[in-house]
Amino acid sequence: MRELILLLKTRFINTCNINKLHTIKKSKLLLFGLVAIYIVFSLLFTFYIYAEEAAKFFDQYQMMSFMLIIFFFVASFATFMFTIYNAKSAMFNAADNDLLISMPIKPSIILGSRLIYITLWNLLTAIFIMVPAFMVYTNYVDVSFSYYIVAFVVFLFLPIIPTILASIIGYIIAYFTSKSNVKNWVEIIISFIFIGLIYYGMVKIDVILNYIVVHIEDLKNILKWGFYPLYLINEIFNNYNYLSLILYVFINIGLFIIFTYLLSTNFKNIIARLQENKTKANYVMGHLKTRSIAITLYFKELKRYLSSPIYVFNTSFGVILLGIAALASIFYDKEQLINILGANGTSSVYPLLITGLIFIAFLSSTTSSAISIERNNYWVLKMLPVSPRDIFKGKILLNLSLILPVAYISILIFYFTFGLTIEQLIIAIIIVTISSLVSTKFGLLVNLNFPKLDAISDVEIVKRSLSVTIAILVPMVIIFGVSGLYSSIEGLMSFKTFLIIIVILMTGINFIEYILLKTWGTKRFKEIN
Amino acid sequence: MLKIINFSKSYGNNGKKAVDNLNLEIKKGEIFGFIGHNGAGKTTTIKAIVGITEFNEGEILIDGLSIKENDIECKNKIAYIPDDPDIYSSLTGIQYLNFIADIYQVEAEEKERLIKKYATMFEILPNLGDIISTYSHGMKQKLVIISALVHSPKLLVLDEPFVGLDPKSAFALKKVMRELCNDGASIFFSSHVLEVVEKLCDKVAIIKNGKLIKCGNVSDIIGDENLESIFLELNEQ
Repeated sequence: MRELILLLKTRFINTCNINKLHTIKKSKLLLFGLVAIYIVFSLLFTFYIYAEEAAKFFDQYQMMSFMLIIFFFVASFATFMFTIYNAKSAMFNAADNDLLISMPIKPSIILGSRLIYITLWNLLTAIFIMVPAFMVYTNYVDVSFSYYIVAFVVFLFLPIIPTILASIIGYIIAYFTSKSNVKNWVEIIISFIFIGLIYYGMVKIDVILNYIVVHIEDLKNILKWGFYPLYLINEIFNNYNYLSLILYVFINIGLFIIFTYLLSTNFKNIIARLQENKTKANYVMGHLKTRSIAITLYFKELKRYLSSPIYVFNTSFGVILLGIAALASIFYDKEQLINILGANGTSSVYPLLITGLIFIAFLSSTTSSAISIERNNYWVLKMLPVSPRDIFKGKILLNLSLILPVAYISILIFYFTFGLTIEQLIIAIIIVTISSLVSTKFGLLVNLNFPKLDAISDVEIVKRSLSVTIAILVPMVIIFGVSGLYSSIEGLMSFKTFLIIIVILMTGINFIEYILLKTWGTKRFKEIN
Repeated sequence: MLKIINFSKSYGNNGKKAVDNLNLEIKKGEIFGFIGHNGAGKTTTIKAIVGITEFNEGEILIDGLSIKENDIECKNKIAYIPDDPDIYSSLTGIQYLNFIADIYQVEAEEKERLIKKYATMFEILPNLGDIISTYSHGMKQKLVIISALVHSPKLLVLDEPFVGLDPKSAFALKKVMRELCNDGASIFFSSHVLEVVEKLCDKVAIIKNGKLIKCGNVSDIIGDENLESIFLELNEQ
């Protein structure tokens, strides 16, 4: 027990960089705090709205416990997805493997501490999904004090099974793909399949909810025989069945212990297998070519980008969704598409398209982590006889090359499928180009200001760094604000005029960003160590 | 070739100096050893020379050009080999070498010749097609060494270059260092392996707690003793 607590405490201090807190300026800490508070409340609010919508639906059929099951499933799915990325590095390929294994600590303790740590982080994620759901439930169902105790216990054990499943699948993927050169592509494809499923679920939510209501008895049987913990949750909240609660707790603890035990008996073999690398050692020198500095830097950025599945996934799914939407517009009827998009008729399709393009340009910023992603290799760029501006150009060019080709082709497809005018086509192309230029430079400026070179994994940079959060949040707030502004002045100004103003403003911002990068950015690049 | 003038570097708010008023000069064709205890300021100095660390006090001139004012021109003449070869693990060895050579705009034929020469010398040619993440520490070190040599630098700056190298490669590196100096290049390197410094270097500087405590020709400094005993003696004082 002592060793377990020691391992957990050390891991916490190391991964959260507690020792560095006192070195951060108070103003930066305050900014972190404000951004964190904003994110927390935004997420809680968003899921509260979703929970309210679901509750209204299920309340009609007196199936409120199923509302909790749906959210429990969503939280479990989110946990599962995040853990698949984390499992390999956090559980099996951790940097302290050699150190800990060489010490008199049982493998079960080492693994147990890692599993607990991942589970605790997943619990933190699940708070945003489950707390609103539990709160909304009390708006529709009269609950006693025991509800809160039961909800707390159920919530506490929520991440265990998805974490275990994701660890197993994460290991299997890592094992099979470590023997081949395609491991990154496998992870990327799996990520897109998951996001596709989520998107499909969101689009078809009405169909899914209606299906649940119509087939409730069949579903209860499926839960009972296929997803027993979910069945138990239904029993717990429907009937306050304390036996089900005890069984639920025992199943989770039992699975945790069994998983930890089984894994620990094979721990060293598992790690050894994952560390086996495929090497050929048969290189024969061919003729080499020389590239220009600009192209060399671009391809270096591209290779780095493609080597990181989480980096690719996080920054490209917006663009890929755009591409899919464009292709879908070829096969779907225009009216069906308008319904799917939630537009109020054909006239609101174009504003929606423009907003979507700007959204995607800012969501797809690779530059907001382009400095941090260098991590321990930052010295290489600093040592080279290349100006920071050339390095910035390589990073910006990468971002633009990922967004613009797909965006242009999609706009062209929409031009035909939605019958846009030539003027609308040209404006859309200008908007997406200028938005992309603004977003890439903004991302780079933010990352230069908030670099995170000491991250232990790309996940930490791409998903949890301040610069990525700011680079997404600030533009989103502005986009929503501007959209709201247009809604209020719609009658006073045509959309075309409004867009022209937006283009002029963004051109101005683009110019300011250019100057900032040239002056402050260059200086800042040299300062970062 | 390299002139360090009144160089000082502080870290943190308390202004504690990692390097304090360092003055050194390395001439063309010289191999200059830089030794000191852990945390003495060797790596700080080296990183300032190659333009990785910024500094406000003093000046560092590479072939007469200031690293602060003319960093690109200076870096074109320098090659740097760090103590910890953290390089792009997702590239193959040859891709990394191509990358470095292309940044330095080495001609294709020359690049091919030098890569082949040094990769054969360090016995890493067959591994160049493999991804760097599969390399051992020593292999990465060799790769970084080759990447430093492939653009024929005028000043080679090395931070503990022999760490992780097998004896054959260590010998090959010493041979290369001597050859480069015979061709007019200069070498500035830090090492804890004092026997190597004693045998290889023309001049040596000893740094203690950021301050230079001894500098001069190796033969003048060691006299009848050896570098290790001189170093320990000076550190005791």
